[in-house]
Amino acid sequence: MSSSKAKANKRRRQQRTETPVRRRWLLFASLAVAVAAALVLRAYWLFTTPNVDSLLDDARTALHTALEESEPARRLALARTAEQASRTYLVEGGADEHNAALLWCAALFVERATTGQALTDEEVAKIDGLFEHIVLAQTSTKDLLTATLACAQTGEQHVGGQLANELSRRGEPRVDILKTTAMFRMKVGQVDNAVDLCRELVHVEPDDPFAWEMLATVYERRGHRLQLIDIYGRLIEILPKGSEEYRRRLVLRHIEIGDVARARAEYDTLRSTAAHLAQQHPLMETELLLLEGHTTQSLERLDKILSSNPDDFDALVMMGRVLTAENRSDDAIKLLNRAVNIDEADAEAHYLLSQAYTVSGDSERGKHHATICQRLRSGVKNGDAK
Amino acid sequence: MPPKRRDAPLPYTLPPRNPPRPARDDDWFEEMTSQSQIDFAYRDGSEAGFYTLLETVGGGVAMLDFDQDGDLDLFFTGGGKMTGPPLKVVGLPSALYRNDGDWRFSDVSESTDIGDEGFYSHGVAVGDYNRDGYPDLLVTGFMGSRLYRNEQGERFVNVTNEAGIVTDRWATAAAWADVDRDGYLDLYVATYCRWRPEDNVVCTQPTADGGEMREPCAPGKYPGDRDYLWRNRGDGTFEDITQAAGITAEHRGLGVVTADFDDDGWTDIYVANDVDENDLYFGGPNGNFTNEALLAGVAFSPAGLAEGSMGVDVGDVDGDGRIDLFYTNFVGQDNSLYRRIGPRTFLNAADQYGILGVSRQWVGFGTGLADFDGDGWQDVFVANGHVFYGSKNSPYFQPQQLLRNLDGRKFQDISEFGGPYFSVHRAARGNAIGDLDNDGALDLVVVHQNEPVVLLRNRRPVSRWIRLQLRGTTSNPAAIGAKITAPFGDRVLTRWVRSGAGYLSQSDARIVLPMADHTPVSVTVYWPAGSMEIFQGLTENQTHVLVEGEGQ
Repeated sequence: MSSSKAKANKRRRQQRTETPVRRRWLLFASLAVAVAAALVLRAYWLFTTPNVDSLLDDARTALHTALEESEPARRLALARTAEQASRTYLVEGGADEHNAALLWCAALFVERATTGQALTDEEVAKIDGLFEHIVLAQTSTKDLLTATLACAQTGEQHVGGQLANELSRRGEPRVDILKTTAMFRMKVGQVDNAVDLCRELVHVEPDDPFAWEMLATVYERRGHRLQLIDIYGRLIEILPKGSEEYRRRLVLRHIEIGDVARARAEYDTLRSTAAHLAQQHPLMETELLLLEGHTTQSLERLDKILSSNPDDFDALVMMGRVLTAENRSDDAIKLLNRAVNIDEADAEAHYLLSQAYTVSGDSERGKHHATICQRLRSGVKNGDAK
Repeated sequence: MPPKRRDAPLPYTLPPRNPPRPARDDDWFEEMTSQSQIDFAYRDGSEAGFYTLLETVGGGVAMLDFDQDGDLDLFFTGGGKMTGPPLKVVGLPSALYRNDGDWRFSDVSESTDIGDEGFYSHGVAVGDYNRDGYPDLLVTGFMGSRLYRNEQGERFVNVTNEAGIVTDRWATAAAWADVDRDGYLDLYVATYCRWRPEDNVVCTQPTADGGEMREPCAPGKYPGDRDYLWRNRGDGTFEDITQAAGITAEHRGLGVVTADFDDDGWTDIYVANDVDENDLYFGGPNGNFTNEALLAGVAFSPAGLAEGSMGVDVGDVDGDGRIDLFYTNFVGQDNSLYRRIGPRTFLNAADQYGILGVSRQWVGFGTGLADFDGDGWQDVFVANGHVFYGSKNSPYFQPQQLLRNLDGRKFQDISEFGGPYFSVHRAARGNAIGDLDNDGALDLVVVHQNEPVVLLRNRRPVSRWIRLQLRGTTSNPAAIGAKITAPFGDRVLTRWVRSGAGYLSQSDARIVLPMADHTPVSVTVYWPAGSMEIFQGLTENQTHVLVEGEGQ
C-alpha cells in the first residue's frame, strides 16, 4: 500500500472514530438542554400554577376567617377568596371533592349574605346540584362545622339543616358540635332544639358561658323571669369580667318579681363595679325607688331624665303612671299624650291615658283610649308564665 | 345527661319546712288549731301525679252560724282525689264544725248530712236563700255546684236539683246578692275553664338549665267559660238569667264579691279572673248588668295587662266612705289596691299605699280587708302559695302576709309580727275572717293544700266594740249588700255586708266595729232594698241585731 493511500485510510479511520463521539456529545448536550428546559418549565409551572391541595386549605382558612370577621368588606373579600379557591380546587380535579363542594356552597352563602344580595336562580340550581353530589358522611367534621356555622350566620335553613343533622350524628368534638348546631338551630328559629342542645352543653361544660348566654336569650324572649334569675346568677359566676350587663338584667328581673332586697343589693354592686351601666339605665333605679316606696325621689329622677331628653318614651310612660296613681291626672295626661305621639301603638300608654282622662272626668277621651288599648291588646294575655 | 323532662316533685314529697318560730308577746295571732280539735285538710289529689289544673285551685272555708246559737261555726270544702289512668276525679267529703265555745269545735258533718257528697269541691257561699232565718250553703266544685238547704240548724238537705241550679261547668267562687231587690238572694257563680279529665295533657315549665319540668297545666291551656247568674224566684227555685242580664264574658273566674260599688242602691258584681281581664258588672233597676271594668280602671294591671287574679275583697282602706277594692295576683304581678275616686272610677293605689312589690314574688289567693287591731283602719291578710311544685324563685310553699293599715295612708308589711303561723311557708288558698270567740277581735281561718286548716286567734286587744247583725225584712234576711256607717272618734267608719269575697270562702257576715270610748254610738244602715235607717244608742261590747224597719 502506498503511503498516500495509507494516509487516506488513516484519515478515513480517524473520521470514522471522531464522528460518533461528536454526535454523542451533541446528543448529550441536547438532552441536557432539554432536561434543563423541562426543569425550568416545571419550576415555572410549579411557581405559577396553584397547588390543588393547598387550594382547599386556602379555602378553609379564608372561610373560617370570614366567619369571624365583622367588617363587611373584609368579610366579603375573604368569602370570595374561599369561594374561588374551593371552586378552582374542584375544577382542577382535587380529590377531596365533597369537602371542597361544601366549602364552596358555604362561601357562596357568606358572600351573598354579606352583600345583601339574594342568590340567583342559577346559583341556587348550582348549589342544589353541588349539594346533591356531596356525600355528607364523607365530609370532614371540621369542614362540616365551618359550613354549618356559615349557614347559622347567614340563616341558610335548608342546607344548614342537613349539615346540622349530620353533625348531630357525629360524636366528637362534642362541645364544638353542640355549640355550632345550637347556634344554627337558634338562628333559624328552631328554638326548642337549640335549648335542648344548650341543656346538653351546660351539662358537658357547665362553666362555658356560651350555652347559658343562649338560654338567657331564649328565656328573655319567652319571658321566663324566674329561670333567668338563675341563669344570670350563673353567668355572673362564670364570667370574671364582662358580667356587668348580666348583673344589670338581674336587677331588672328582681324588680320584676318584687324581690326588693336582692334588687337593691345587686343594684348597689352594679353601681360600684359598672357605674356607667347604672348611669346608662336611669329608669332602673327609678323603678327600684318606686318599689321601695320612695315615690318623691322616683319622680325627681324622672323629671331629671325628661329634662335632658323630653322624648324619652319609657320615662314619659313611667312618669305618667306614677302621676296618675298620685291623682295628678292633668300632669299625667300631658306626658302620656307626648308618649302616644311618639309611639301610637303602645297599649300601655293608651291604657294609662284612658285612666288619666277618666280620673280627670273626661270619660269620653278615657273611653277612646281604652278602646285603642283593647284593640292593641287583643289576643295578648299576661300570665303566660303561669 | 339528665333526662330532658323531669316531673316536678309532688307536694307531698317536698322536704319538711322549718318549725314555727316561738310565740312572742307582740304577736298579732295565736294558733288555736290543736285546741279547737279541728283536724281537717283540703285534699287536692296532687299525690296521684296527674299534674292537673284542677288540683291547683284549692278550697275554702265559711264562717256561719248554722244553728243560730250566736257563735260562728266553720264549714270546710273537702276537695277530692284522682284515680287512674284513665284519670278519674273523685270527691272527698266536706266538713262542718260546730262552735262549742272556748275555741272548741265538734265535727257535725255526719249528723247534719253535709259531709259526704261525692263531688270535687272548691268554694262556699253562705246565704239564706229561702228566708227561713237559717243560712244555707252553696258549695262549688268541679262539674257543678251543690245547694244545701239548712233545716232549722239541724241538718242540711241537698236541694240542687229541685232548686234548678244544675250545671256541669267548673264552678269556683260564688256569691249571693239580691240583684233585683225582691228580698230573695240571687246567686252568682264564677266558672273557671272548660276542662275535663279526658282533656288532661302533659304540661311543662322550663328549667334554668334548658330542661323541662312537668307541672300542672296553666289555665291559658284551656278556654274560659261563662259564669252564672241565677235569679231566685222566691219559691225555692232559680232561673238562669246570665245571658239576659248581659253577663256574657267567658273568663276564667276565681274570685267574686258582690256589693254596691257605685252607691246607686243596686248590687254590683266584681269578678277576679285568672289570666283574663277582670269584670265589674254594674247592676241597675232594669235587671241588666254592664261590664265597665275597663272604664272603671279595674280590669287590668297599671300596665294595661290582664293579670292572674284570684281572691278579692272590698272595704274602705282610706276612710273616705267610698268602696275600695283589693285583689290578689300571680307571681310577678303586684296585688292590686284600687281606691274609688269617682262614682264608677277607681285609681290603682298600690304604689301610693306601699304594697308595690310586697307580694310580687308570691302567688296570692285568699285575702281579706279587716280591722285586726281595732284602730278603725282595715288591714289586709293575704294567703299565698304557688300552683307549681318545682318553681325555685317562687316556691310552692310561701309565706302568708299581714299588712297593717297605717292611718289609711299606707300599708306596712308586718307579717313577722303575725305570729308563729306566719313564719312557716305553706300553700294556702282560701281564708275567712270573723270573730270566732266573740271577743270583738277578728280571727282568722286559713285553708291549705293537703295540710290541716289553721285557726288563728286575734291577740290584739280591742277594748270597746260593737257587733252588728243585720236582719233584713224587705231586704234579704242577712242584708247582704248593705252599707253601714258609724262614728269612730272624729272619723266615720264605713263597712259593707258582702258575699263572696276572699277566695272560695265566706267570712263572717256580721260587722264588728271598734268604739272610740264608752259613749253609745249611732249606726246608719243603707239597706239593700233601698231604705236608710239610723240605729242609735248602741252600747259597747255586745252584738246588736239591727232589724230593717226598726231604726229611725
